[in-house]
Amino acid sequence: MLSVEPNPVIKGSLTVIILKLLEENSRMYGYEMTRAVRDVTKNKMDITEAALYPALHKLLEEGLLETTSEVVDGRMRKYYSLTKKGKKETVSKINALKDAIGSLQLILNSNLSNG
Amino acid sequence: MDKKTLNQDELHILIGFIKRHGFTEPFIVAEILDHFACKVEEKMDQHPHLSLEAALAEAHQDFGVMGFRPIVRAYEANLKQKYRTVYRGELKKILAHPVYVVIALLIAAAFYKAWFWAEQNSCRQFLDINDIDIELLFVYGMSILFLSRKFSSFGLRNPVVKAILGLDTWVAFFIGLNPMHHYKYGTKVQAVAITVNAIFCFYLVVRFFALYTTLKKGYKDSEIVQDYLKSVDL
Repeated sequence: MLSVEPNPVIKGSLTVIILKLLEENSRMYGYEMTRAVRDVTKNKMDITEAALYPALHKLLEEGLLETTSEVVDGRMRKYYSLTKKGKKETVSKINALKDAIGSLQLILNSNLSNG
Repeated sequence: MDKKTLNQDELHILIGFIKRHGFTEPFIVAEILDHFACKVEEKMDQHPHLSLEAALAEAHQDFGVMGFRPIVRAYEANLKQKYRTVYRGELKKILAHPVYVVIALLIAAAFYKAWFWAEQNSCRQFLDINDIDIELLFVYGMSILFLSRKFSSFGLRNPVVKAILGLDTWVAFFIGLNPMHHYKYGTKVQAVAITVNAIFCFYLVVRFFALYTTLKKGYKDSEIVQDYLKSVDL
């Protein structure tokens, strides 16, 4: 299983992963996000708490996310959702990441030898 | 098979576990509890014969070497950033109001004139800059104490309170390091120094009101958490 924390390439994409998850779901809580990534990637990728919560904090600080709290099953649950600014930026950030991945694939799939 | 949901007794065992790992402040415990409980439930769903204690240990291990710290650090950082924005907004609101500008100018004029009057009437010791700095520190300290008592149900270790009161620590530092009181100045310079200190004192009062309003907002924002904490007796 690929853990988000040690892999720098995936770590750099974590904020986009979070934005994408929240674009497709009106709101999610922290654990739900980690489970969603594991389920979609069939356990190939795992987001650790050490990576997730700093990324959520960064997105909150940038004003792309907001939070609401509710009592669920006897505990306080904090839900994250996209702000208006977050919804706008999600599209551009996902497109930017797709472009970057496309460029990487071109490099990795081509013959780069000199001569 | 139904998904496992921890009951109140089991949640209290988790709360005890969180506290034994050094996180005892109720707001922080509430912040950690849900994610931790979800992990424990997942473990017990995957391995139905696993005991709660074993599921706790495994779930905690999954948090890695940092344990619960990333959740706590992110939570505290969010609070600090959120209330710094509120505090600055409150401060701007007050300082931009023309009434306060007029009051500040009147205080400046009064203290400036008062110094020369005190010189002429041999009672400058009442405006001595050393004493004013001590008075400023006292006023500042008492105002922080008042705020902490007003919101005593929070406690000084509460992360909302720490995020907000921490905004002003540089002010106390500046008062303590104020170099003005170490020198003997001429009369005009002393008058200006006293005036600046008086304006600074007025500014401290304004900051106090901004801090108070910010704390009130923090208190209101966290009502849902406070109600929850009362219900679980954390």
